[in-house]
Amino acid sequence: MHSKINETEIYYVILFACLLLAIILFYFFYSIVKYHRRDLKDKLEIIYGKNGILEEEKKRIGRDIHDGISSSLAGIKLLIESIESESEKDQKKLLTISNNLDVTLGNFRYILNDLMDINLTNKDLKTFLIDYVEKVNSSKFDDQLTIQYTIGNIPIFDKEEALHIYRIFQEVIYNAQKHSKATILEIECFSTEHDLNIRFRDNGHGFDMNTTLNAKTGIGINNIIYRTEMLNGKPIIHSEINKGTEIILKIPV
Amino acid sequence: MKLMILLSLSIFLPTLAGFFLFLKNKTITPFLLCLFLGSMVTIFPILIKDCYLINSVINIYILFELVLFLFQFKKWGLFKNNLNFYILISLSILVWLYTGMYISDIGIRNNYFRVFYSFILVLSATDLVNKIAFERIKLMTDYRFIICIGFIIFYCYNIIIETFNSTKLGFSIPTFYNIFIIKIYLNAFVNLLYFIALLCIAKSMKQKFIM
Repeated sequence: MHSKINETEIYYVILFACLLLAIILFYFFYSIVKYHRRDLKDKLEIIYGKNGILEEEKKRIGRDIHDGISSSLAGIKLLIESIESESEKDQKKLLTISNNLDVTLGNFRYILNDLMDINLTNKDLKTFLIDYVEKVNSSKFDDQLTIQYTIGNIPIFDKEEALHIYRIFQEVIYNAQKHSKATILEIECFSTEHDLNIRFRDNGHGFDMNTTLNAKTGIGINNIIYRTEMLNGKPIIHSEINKGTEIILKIPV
Repeated sequence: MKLMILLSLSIFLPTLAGFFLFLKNKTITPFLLCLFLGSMVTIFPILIKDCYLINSVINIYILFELVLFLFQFKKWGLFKNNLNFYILISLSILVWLYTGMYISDIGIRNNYFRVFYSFILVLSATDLVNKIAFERIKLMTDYRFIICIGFIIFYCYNIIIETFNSTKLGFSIPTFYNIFIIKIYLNAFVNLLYFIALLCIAKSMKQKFIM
């Protein structure tokens, strides 16, 4: 009888000790998750901070180019146009210089568009996107690419998030022009109750997904992925060589 | 037997190292105080033969040890919320009073509180280990990490042993002796870890001085 009581007691003691150890183990995992989340939050804050610094630096460079080089080039152009020459040969040369300056100024404006301060506000995002797409469509700088777009209502995003979306548009259009050599880029942008859906499709060269996404050369495409993830969104990218590229972004509102 | 006594006195190794660090590094003062008190409590039974007095001193010592260790954890940035810290301190004192005065007696080994204090120390050490792990530093040379590993090893064993001790299951003397021997070996190992941790502090201080 004594031995039976003793065994029951031992059983309860072991059970109690195991319970304490189980709590410790549970707390260990809980603690890992807690610090992992905190670490992730800190990392995101650092990235947001770096992004802010980067945007500020872009604005500064943009202002310098605008106030310095662009103004000088515009002044030079005016001076060249004011030169009167009787020699037909010289006039042709001046006209060539003036045309080259036009192209250079066009290039500068295009670069400035990416660098200069963008005062995005919630209600402006749609207008900003349409303006940008229209600018590219009517640009003398690049008459090869035509953008066909449907941009519906865009839900409210804060300034930083709106800037990410704007930069994604810039990146995709730049990639279609420079790397894909596409002639048509289709953009569809519409929102549902929970998400903003953006679909880009071009008829350009396309690229090999495995090599580009892992290589350092795929900065542009990785930038799109990174910005979408910053918005807690999901990027789906599909591309095949000579068959164009399709990018679908699902961004939660 | 001589080996056992020698291993029990292993606490003097980190205490001696801590003595040299005491004036130079204030961030580990509570831990060094614990080592010092621990050394005193180790030699106390050699000098005094009164069991009631020995148990009373050890019971008071473990309360101080828990409070000092909690202060140490706070210094290492564990308790960001002051309220949680003071609640834990108050709870520890209440548990000590209840188990040491109401359930048992100050002069009797307080096994219930030993389970409680081991449990709290293991939880705190676990939390700190995870915190350090996400700080992206060299873990193996981080003195806090080494000390916490020592805590987890020693006090996890302590939880199991003290849980058995707190019941009246009545270990036979040879079994109790074997369990106690394991504890002495573990204690010596943990003291060695503390010593290594203090050496790591001394090394990092030297590097800072050179820089």
